[in-house]
Amino acid sequence: MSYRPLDTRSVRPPAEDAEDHRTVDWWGLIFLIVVILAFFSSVMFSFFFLRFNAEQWPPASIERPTLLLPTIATLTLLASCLPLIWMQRVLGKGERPRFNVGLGLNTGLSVAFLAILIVSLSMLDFGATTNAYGSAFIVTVGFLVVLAIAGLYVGAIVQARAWKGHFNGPRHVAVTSLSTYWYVLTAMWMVVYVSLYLLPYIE
Amino acid sequence: MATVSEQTVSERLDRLYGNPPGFAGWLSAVNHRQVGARLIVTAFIFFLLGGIESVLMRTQLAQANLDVLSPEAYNQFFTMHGTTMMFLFAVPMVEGLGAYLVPLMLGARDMPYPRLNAFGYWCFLFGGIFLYSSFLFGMAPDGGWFAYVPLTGPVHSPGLNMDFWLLGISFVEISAIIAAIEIIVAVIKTRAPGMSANRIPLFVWGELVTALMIVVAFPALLAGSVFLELDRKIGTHFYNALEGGSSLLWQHLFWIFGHPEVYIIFLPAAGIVSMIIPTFAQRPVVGYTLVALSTVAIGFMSFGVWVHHMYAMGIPFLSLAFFASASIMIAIPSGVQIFAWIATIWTGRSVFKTPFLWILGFFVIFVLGGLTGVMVAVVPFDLQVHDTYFIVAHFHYVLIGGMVFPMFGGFYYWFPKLTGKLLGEGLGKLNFWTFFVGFNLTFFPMHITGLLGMPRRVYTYQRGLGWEVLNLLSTVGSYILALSVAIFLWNVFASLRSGTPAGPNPWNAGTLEWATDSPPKNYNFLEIPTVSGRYPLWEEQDIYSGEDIDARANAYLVQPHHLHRATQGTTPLYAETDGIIRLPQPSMLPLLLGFGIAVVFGSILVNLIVPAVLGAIWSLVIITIWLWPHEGDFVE
Ligand code: HEM
Ligand SMILES: [Cu+2]
Repeated sequence: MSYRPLDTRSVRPPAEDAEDHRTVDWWGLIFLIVVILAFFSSVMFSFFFLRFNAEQWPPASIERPTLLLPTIATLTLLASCLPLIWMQRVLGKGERPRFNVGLGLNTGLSVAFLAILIVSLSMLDFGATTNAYGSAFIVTVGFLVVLAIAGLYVGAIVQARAWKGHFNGPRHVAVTSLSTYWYVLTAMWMVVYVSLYLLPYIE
Repeated sequence: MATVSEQTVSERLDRLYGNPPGFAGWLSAVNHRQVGARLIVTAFIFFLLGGIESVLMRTQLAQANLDVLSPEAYNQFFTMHGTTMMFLFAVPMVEGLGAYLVPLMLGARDMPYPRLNAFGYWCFLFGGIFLYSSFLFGMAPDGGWFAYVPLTGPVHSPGLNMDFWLLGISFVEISAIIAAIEIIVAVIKTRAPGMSANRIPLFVWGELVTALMIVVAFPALLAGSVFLELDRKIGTHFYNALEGGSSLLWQHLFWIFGHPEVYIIFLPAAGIVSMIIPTFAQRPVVGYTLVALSTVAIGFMSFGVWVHHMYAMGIPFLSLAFFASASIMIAIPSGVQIFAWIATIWTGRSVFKTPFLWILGFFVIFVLGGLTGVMVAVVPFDLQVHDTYFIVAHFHYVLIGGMVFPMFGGFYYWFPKLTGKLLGEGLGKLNFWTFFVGFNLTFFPMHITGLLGMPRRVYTYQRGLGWEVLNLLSTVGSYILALSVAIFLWNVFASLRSGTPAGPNPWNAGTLEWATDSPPKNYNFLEIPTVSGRYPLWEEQDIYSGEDIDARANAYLVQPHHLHRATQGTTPLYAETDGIIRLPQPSMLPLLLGFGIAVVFGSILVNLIVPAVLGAIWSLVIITIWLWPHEGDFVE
């Protein structure tokens, strides 16, 4: 048997303009998110387990966390998703400079979210070692902070690649992956915001 | 147009998919068969270590009031034995078999993320060494393999023992999760064209469901371990009842993982059974669809069963009844599989070679273990035998019967694929019969010792309770088991030195892994086969006669100017060619990243901040290099 070059254009590696589901990077991201969500569910399960185990939650000795800063942080995080949507649209039209601006806006708003959140954490009158409530509270929020920092870090790499002009096709799996990760993070934050901050005020 | 001969292509691809030369090349290997073989060998070494620990425990219990192991040592030994067998042997072993065999069965050249695969292996190795290094400091974990708080909390276990356990186990879990994602995506994206979902080999189904369960279940234990380590290191109060925490929380998190764990181990083993039986009955498996569906069903149900481990803990009666029935429900899909296997044997022409013998042994033991399991699932009975040797006997019947027997069957079956040599039949039969007899002699009497009231986890017992003879039998049985494992090792060495050459398909099996050479060339398949049935090698049709697009994909994969590794990408359900998956070259990054994380974990263990930070920075740098695309990665 002998081999002769054939026209193989249609079966090349799915590169810049492939639909996401053709690439294994995309599938890897999906299952990374599954792992993160499974971990997050365990954290939330623990939070509510301790909550229903306690007579009073937060314990009587503790002020419930104030709402102002966390709410601003939440709005900032929600706002950071808008440039992502916009950015994917302009990338589809091949407008690279505007794409870079969108990515930058997203990063800026995400950093603002983190900053406000961390300031609000530092103003709490309890800490992780005060009691079980404090532990569950700080570790739950801390987990999201870590995820956000990881997202920003990978985002910075994507950003650097964007400025070097790596993304010139109409779509790119690194870009869709980053936005998907950020949307999932935002959704998880909403769960945390409602259960940790809002709920004590509703009851 | 220039043409190239098949031989040239083969040589070129073998070089392209092989390792760089030398020790450095060995350290940078990412090929799935290398990683898989390393996982298998390392997990087997841990099996030997766990076995040595159990034989020493049995020696201590051979008679009343012996003095072989001190009480402290005994606690460390049963903890390390259980931990080793569950985390360092069983899970890595099924994942190693998966890493080696799944791409071969799917007709792929490698797994989708080879570097991640290698990273998973290093995490496993470092985690295992980490855990075992505790022996050097005389601080081996001693809190039992499920590490119940408050016993393992900062107050009752102030030493480093449990920190070794928590950090080591977390390290190993990261590796398990990585291998699981690898297997899932391999099954979704890299099946040979034509291998639609209803033609996937049943072993691959088992590996797939197991991997999905790992991805969902392991994070629960990971979270629980993080909480416990925080409680121990910085003084949080997750499990501290005095400050509003709850030790029951640990038990929930542990068993959310722990119950599926049993099926995580069992399903790939059942997959092995479903591969070996058709080959030795020389006919397709009966009820393929039912077996595949019940594999999925067992995966789902196993999550509902976790509370049955906590019957003795005072859970409200209603949920008790629910979980008791769920435990029994799982018997239904397991039963479906067993009937399908029996029907296959019944209607085929059986060849009683060694691999098949192990599967028959599996049947006998697994059915017995299942029966005692249903007994344990009955709530009042569980309260009666709770924490006695009846339980020890039960779970060894399930674990060894359900996993170790099929595993040895799998070893005898696939060894020729890995090495090109057959294992000896005579030694194989001796290996089997000593194992079968030794196993029953060790664990059957334990049912009775348990009913007579002997509690588990005791380092010795008093004379005159009627436990002596039974314990002596168990101990003798464990020596026979050890002898049997030695026979196996001898068989392996003898075969490697002077075994009968196997040829590509020594058993006349029907699935794709047998279409490759034994051992396979570095690239596995020169051309990616096209599949038109469940047993491609038994079909009339040539496996290299795909559609036009498959031919073009193959042309791409063998083209002369093709300088990087790749495999075929296909669609998730129907496995139609939809592109080529570019694969990375060998790399040191996985090892370097594993090293960075090991430094971080080691520093946390001994409360050193600076090295921990340095290790973290090192890891971040490696990750950045890893994520940064190489020249030409996306321009063709
Ligand atoms: C090969 C021969 C084996 C022997 C002779 C053996 C023997 C034992 C013994 C004597 C104990 C301690 C009982 C006690 O004091 O409570 C034990 C515990 C245990 N064994 Fe094995 N075992 C073997 C294989 C396995 C395998 C293959 C697995 C798992 C895949 C396994 C999993 C466990 C677990 C999880 C425990 C409980 C540890 C604990 O109490 O924390 N064993 N085994
Ligand atoms: Cu169970």
